[in-house]
Amino acid sequence: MREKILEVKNVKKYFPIHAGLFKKPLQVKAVDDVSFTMYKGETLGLVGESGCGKSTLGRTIVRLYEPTAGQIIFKDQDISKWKSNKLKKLRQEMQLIFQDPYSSLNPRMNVSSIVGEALLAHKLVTKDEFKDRVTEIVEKCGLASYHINRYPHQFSGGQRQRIGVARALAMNPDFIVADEPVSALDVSVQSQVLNMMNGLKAEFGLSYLFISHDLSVVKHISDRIGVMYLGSLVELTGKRELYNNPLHPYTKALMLAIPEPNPKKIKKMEAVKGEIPSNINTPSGCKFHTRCPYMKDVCKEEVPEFREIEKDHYVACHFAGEI
Amino acid sequence: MAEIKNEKTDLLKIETKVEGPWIVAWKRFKKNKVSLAGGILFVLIFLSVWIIPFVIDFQLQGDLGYTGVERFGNAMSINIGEHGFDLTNSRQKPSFIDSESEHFLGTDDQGRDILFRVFFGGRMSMNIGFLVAFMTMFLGSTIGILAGYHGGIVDDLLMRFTEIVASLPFLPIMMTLSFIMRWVPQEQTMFVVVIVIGIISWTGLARLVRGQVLSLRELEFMQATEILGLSTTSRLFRHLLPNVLTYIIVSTTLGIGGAILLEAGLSFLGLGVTPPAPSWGNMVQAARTGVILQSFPHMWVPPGLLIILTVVSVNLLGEGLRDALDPKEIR
Repeated sequence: MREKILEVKNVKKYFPIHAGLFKKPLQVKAVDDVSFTMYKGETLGLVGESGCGKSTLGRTIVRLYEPTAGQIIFKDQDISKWKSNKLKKLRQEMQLIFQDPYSSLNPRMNVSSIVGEALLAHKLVTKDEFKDRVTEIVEKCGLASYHINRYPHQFSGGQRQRIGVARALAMNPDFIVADEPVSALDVSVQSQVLNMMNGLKAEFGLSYLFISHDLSVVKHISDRIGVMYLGSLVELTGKRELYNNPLHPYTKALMLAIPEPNPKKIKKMEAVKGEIPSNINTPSGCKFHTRCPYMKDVCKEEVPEFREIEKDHYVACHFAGEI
Repeated sequence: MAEIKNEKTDLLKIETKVEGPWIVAWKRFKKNKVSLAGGILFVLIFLSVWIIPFVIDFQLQGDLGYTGVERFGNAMSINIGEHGFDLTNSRQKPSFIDSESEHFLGTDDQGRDILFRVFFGGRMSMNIGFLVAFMTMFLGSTIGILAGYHGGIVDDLLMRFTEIVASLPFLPIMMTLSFIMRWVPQEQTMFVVVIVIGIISWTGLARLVRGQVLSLRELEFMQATEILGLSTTSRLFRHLLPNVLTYIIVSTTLGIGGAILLEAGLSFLGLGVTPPAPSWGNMVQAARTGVILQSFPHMWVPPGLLIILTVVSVNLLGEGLRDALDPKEIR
C-alpha cells in the first residue's frame, strides 16, 4: 500500500465580490468541491485552462488561502483550519515554487538572503553554518557557490527560477507545490529546470503537486495527471492512461488541442468550442455541458459524481466510458 | 547539461564582482553630471551655513564676549557694538561698491552685517527644511505603509484622515497661528513653523507610499515571505521597506526644497520665523519697502539668490536620485 502524504477532501475556495451596498453579495467559485489523494514520492500534474482555479487550489493546499470548506489532510493532520503560529511549523514541510521568476525574488536582497532567510527565521541553522548550508542548496540547484552574493537582476530567467527552487528546498520540505514553475521560461530552459526538479525529487524524496497549463510539460514530469475545469476536477488518472484513454469529453478536447507534428494525420474532432463560462454563475448540473458535444438533458440538471470508472481512473461525467 | 557547464566556466573567467542595487544606483547617479553638480552645490551650501555660524560665534566670543546669535539673531536685546546693532551704520553699501564700507555685503536697516545674517538665516532655513522633510518622511511613510500593508478598514480610516489633512486651508491656519506665535518664546517660533508645515505636507508621501505598498504586496516575493513563515517585522522591514525606500528618499529630498520655499514664502508674509531672528525668507521681506527694493538691492538679493540656488540644487539632486534609484528604469 502506498503511503498517503496529502488528502484533499471536498475543498472549496470562494472569493466574495462586493457588488454594491444593496446588491446581493456574489462569490467567485475559484475551487469548487475538489477531492484527491497524493502518495509519497509521486508527482501529480494539474492541468486546465487559465482561470480554472488550479493555482488557487495549489495556494489553498499550502495554506496561503484558507479554504471556504473541506479538509486538507497532510500527514494525517487536518491543516485546513490552522492559524498562523501552527502554520509556521507547516512551512518547513510544505513549500511553494512560484510562477514568475521576476516578481518572486526580492530585488533588494542577495541570493544567500533569499535562499537562507527562512533557515534563520526558523532557527534551523546557526550563523556559522548558514553560508555552508546555503552554498550546498544553491549548488544542488545548478548554480555556483560564487552566485550567493549576487542580486536577482544579475541572473537570467532560468537561473532566477533555480533560485526560487533553492528557496523552496532550503528548509528540506517533503511536499512542494510547483505553481507553473516553467511557464515563464524558454522551451530550452524549461527542460533544464524540469530535469533538475526531477533529480531533486529523487534525491530529497519529494512529492510534487505540479500545476501547469502546458500538457507536454505535465506529461514529461508527472506520474498521474488531474484535469481541472471551472474549479472542479473532471478527470484524474495515470499519465499513460490519460493520454491513451481519455474518458471525459473535456480531456478528449484538450488532447486534440496538442499540436500534431505530422501534417498527414487528420484530427477527427474539433477542439472545444466557445469560452469558459463565468465562475460566478456556474452552469447547472455538469459544468461542462455548455460546451460538451455529447450533452444530454441529464447533464443540465444533475452534477456528475467524481467516480472511479476503471482502477485509478476517476472521471466526473454521466456517460464516462460510453462516449 | 553540457550547456550549463559551459555557462559556468565562462562566468568563472570573468572577474566576479558583486554589485548591490545601491552601488548600481550610485554609479547611475554619478553619470548624471547635472544632478551631481546640484548635489555638490547643495552639500556645499549646507556645510557652509552650518559651519560658518559656529566660526563667527567662536570669533565674536573671543573678541567681544557675545555670540552671533545674540547679535544677529536677537538684536533687540543687545547694545550697540562696534560691528553689530548700529543704527549709525545702517543701510551701508557692500564694500566692493562703496570703499568706505567695512561690511562685505553691506548692512541692513538696523546696521547688521548682511553677510553674517545670510549665514545665520541660512542655518535657520536649512534647519526648517530638514526638520520638515524628516517629519514628512516619518509621518508619510509610517501612515502609508500601515495603510497599504493592512488594507481594509485600517486603510480606509488612514486614507480618509489623510484626505482631511490634505484639504486643510494652509494660509488661514498659518495666519491664526502667527497671532498665537506672539506668546511663543523667540527661540521656539522655528519649531512652530516646522510643525505646521510638517503637518500639512506629509499627505503626498503617504499616498505615494500606500500605492507602492499596495502593488508590492501583490507581488510573489511578498507571498513568498508568507509561505516561508517569516515574521511580520521581517516582512515589513526587510522586504517591504527597502523596496519603498527609494521613493521615500526621493520624496524627502524634494521635500527639503519645498519646505525651504514654503518657509521663505511664510516669512516673507511675516507669518514664519519672527524677526529679529534671521531666515532667508524674512531677510527678503526687506524688499517689501519700495526704497529698499529700488535702491538697496544688497539687502535682499543675497538671501533671495541663495533661496533659488538651494532649492534648484536640492531639486536637481532629487531628480537625479529618482532616475538613479528607480528600479524600473534599467539603463
